[in-house]
Order: sequence, then structure tokens, then C-alpha cells
Amino acid sequence: MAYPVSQLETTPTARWLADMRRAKSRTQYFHALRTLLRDAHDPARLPTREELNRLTGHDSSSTIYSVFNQDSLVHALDGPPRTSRLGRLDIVAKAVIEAKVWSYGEYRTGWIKALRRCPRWPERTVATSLLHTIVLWATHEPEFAIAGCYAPPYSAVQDLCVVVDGTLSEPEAEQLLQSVVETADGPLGDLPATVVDVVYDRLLDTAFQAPEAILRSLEGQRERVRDVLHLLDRMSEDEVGRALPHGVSVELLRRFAEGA
Amino acid sequence: MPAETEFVAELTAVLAYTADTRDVGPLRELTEEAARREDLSKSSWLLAKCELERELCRERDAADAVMVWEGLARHAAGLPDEDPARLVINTMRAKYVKRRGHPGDPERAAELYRREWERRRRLLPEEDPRLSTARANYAVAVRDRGRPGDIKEALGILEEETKRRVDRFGAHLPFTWIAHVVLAQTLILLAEETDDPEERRRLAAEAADNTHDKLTQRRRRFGWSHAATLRAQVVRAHALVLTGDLTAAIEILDPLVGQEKAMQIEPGRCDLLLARAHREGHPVKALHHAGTSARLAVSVWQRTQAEKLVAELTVT
Repeated sequence: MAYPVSQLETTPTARWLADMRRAKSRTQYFHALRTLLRDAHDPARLPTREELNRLTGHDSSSTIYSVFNQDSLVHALDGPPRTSRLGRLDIVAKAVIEAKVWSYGEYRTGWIKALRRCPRWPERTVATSLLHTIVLWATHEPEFAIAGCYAPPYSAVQDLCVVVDGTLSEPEAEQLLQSVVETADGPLGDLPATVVDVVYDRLLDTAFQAPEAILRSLEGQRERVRDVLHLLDRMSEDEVGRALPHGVSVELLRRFAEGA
Repeated sequence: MPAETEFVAELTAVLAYTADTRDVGPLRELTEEAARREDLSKSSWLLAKCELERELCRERDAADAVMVWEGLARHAAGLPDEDPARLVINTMRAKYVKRRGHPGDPERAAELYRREWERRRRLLPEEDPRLSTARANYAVAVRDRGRPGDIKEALGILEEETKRRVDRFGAHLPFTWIAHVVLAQTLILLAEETDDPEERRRLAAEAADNTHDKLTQRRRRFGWSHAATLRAQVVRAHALVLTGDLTAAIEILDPLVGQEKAMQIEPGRCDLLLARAHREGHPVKALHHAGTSARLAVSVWQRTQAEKLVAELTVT
């Protein structure tokens, strides 16, 4: 069964991106941002409002506010702490956050297509495939990747939280992805698997080795074990003995299946 | 180019899936679709095709694999030198030429790897890890070419490369561990060549040092049964046989017997090492393993070593 992507399609950033795709003025600013970041001597410095307005051909300095304050990503994000943190940012920094999500959009679509295409995703591989996709984005969109201290696109942060089923908080997922983006900006960026290796232990330690993650994974097997027990109940003792691995008894399986 | 970007992102994620599951079905399907699409560049399709063939060649005869990569090289002829598909094709062609076993192939493989290393030196910045990979590949091809002095030349390059990876990328990455294991293999080959017992012990101890914590790290990262983990264990066991740490070597080797295909190493290699490890303590076991190794050997080196042991142990 392919990975169920419905939850990924309904994250706040995914919905926001779907709604704003046709917002012409916004994308005009995103293209201008990319150009200004590319041409900047210091890639970490964000362009000014004036530079952005000049490049987009807007005379009024308030245009950028009217464009980015309407239907902004900050409003679309859930949770008061995040909203307040982002709320304090200036308008250009907010535009950068949105531009990251926008520029990552096609990469995300490709990733989701892969989730739909492949039939048997191990949970960890869904997460590492997301990290691979982020490396690809960071190496193809270095201007947006570097801007804002290597912050990852918020859509990827929320995707990672969905993929690990909540074992990572948004700030934890953001930090992990930020390390990926920063490493991808260095020489290892051309070997995505090696970039993923840099954070692999951290991913496993925080998202997959957490007791609740192990428990959830085992819970997911209960139904299958019940199915096997149904068959074992129909078999003779001798057949059961031959069917079960060494050290595994029907009693043990039954206790597991019944949640004891 | 949205279609192009989406496609490369999908390919990237499918490759992560293929690497972890060894299920090539989705990659094959994606490649076939790409061949029919008109909105994709030749470079993108060829990259997918190369990744698919890389997987399929694991199960192919080396001579057939060479033909596949030479065919792909013809496809890639019009693409720029730095095209990612071309980089893959050049390396894979050299890899299977080296494995094919035709007369003159080791020479040709070393030459192909040298050309690829030089091409990448021209195209890529000094710190690019793909240049590191080409340098290590060239060193291994020189090592396996078999001319006098080749192993020492390879050792020099690999020592430098290992140090470079530790300094530049850090000791904690699998990318660096690979260099350590390849360096250890090369030290072992040199140890096997030398007649001076002290020098042999010194080289083997250095090889053992290079694999010391790599096994634990590999098991933690890739799991116990991953081919690369198993191969690294064989390298460490070989070093321990040469240093005389026979109990530790046997402990590593016993569970690995017969798994050479999964490890992609010569059949009977673990038997040969076990025969050597048991030679003094358990000659009967040693004779059994030596016989198995001689029967399964593909290389002249392994067959000669195993047959020599059989002869010695039979007389005893």
C-alpha cells in the first residue's frame, strides 16, 4: 500500500500554498527576491523593501505590505507561539519565509508523487526521502536556502511532523531540517545521502527511537498478529510447532495481540 | 521548468525508497514513463535510466553490465561533461570493466578511472566529494591492476584521501568510513605481500586500527545484515588473522560463512580466513574450510592460498 498522503495535503502550509499559487503579485516579489539574493555580495543579508519595490516596479512603499499582509502564511500557521514569533518579523523576512515554501512547492509535489508511486514505504524511509528532497531544493535554490539563517521551508517542517506522527515538535523538526539545509550548502550538498547521514542519528534518536514511536509501531502489528492467531487456532499442535519461530509461543502472540 | 523539477524530486525520493527496500519496480516504472514524456530533457531521463541500470547491474554478469554502460555512454555523447548522468556512466563503465575479467581489463579500468578523476579535477572544485570518490576509485583500480609497486602507489593516495575526508567532512560519516575500510583492505594486501613478519604485523595492526570502531558505527547506521557492514567485518577479521588475534577473527567470521554473495565478495573468502585462523588450533576445521574455499575460489590468489593450505594440512 502506498503511503497515505491525505494528511500531508491538509497541513496549514499545504493549504496556503494551494490557495496562493495564482497570486501574481506575490510571485512577482518572490522572483525579485531570488534575483536580489543571487546578486547580493553577502547572501545572508536580506534585500530592503526599497530594493524589492524597485525591481518589481512598485512606486508605493506600502505595496509590499498590502501584498504580504493579505492571506499571509503567518496567519495560516497554527499555534500562538509560532504566530507571535513570526508576527514580530519585518515584512521582507516574512516574504522570505513564504518564498521558501513557494520555491519548494515543485520539489514537494515530486516527493508526494513518489510517496504515491512506491508500494511499501518503511516509516524511516518516508522521513529520509523528505530529507533527500530538501537537499535537492537547497542545492537548486541556494539563494532561498541560505536566506534567513538556513531556515527550511515551513511546508517541509510540517510534513516531517506528519511523517513522524507527532514524535517531533515543529521547533525540533525545524532545527533538524535547518541542519540539513546548512550542510547541503557545503561541499557535501552534491552527495544527498551523505548530507542525510549527518542528521541520521539525530532523526532516529528523536523521532523513531522514542518509546511512544516504538509502541505505536508495535501497535500497528497487532491486527496482523490477530490474523495469524486465527489461522494458528485451526492448526494441530504439531503444525503450530513447525509454524512458529524458535522461542515464540501462541500464548506470547495472544498476549501481544490482546494488548496485555 | 516545473515538470523537470518535479520529476527530479520524485526520482530523488524513489531512489531513497529503492536504496532501503531494494524494490526496483517504482524506479523502472518512473524511467519508462520518462522515456515517453516530451516535457523532460534527455539529461533527466538518462539520469533515471542510469540509476535503474545501476540497480539492475548488481545482478548482471559483469560483461553484460559493461555493454549496458557502453550503450548509455553513446546515449550521453551529446551531453556536457558535467552532466550528472555522464558522471555516473563513466564511473559505472570503469567499475564493470574492472570486474569483467578479460585480459587487459585491469589496465583499461585503471585508465578509465584515471580519466574520470582528471575530468572531475577539471570540472569540480577541490572540496567536492565527487572528486574524492573518483580519487579513491582510481586508487583501488591501481591497487588491483597488479603491477609491481601498484599497491604502494594506491596506499599513498588512499592514506591522503582518508585524512582529507576526516579533516574535511568529519570522522562520523559513512563517506569517511568507506575510505578507512578501503585503506584497511589495501594495507592487508601489502601485508600479505611482504616476507618480513614484523612489517606484516605492523601493516595488519594499522589495518585493524582503521576498522576498529567502524563496525559498531556501521551496524548502528545500516543494521547488522547490510552488505557494507558485513564486508567491513570481513576486512577486520582478515586484519586480525594477520595480527594473530585468532579468537576475535573466528568470532567475526563464523556467522558470515556462506554469505559472500550478499556481501558482493569472492565466494569462499570467509572459509579461507577461517582455515587460516584454525590452522594451529583445529587443523580438521581448517582443512574443511580450506577445501571449501579452494572449491569456490574465483581468483588465482584465493585458489592458490586455499590449495596451499589444503596441501599443508593434508600432509600433517
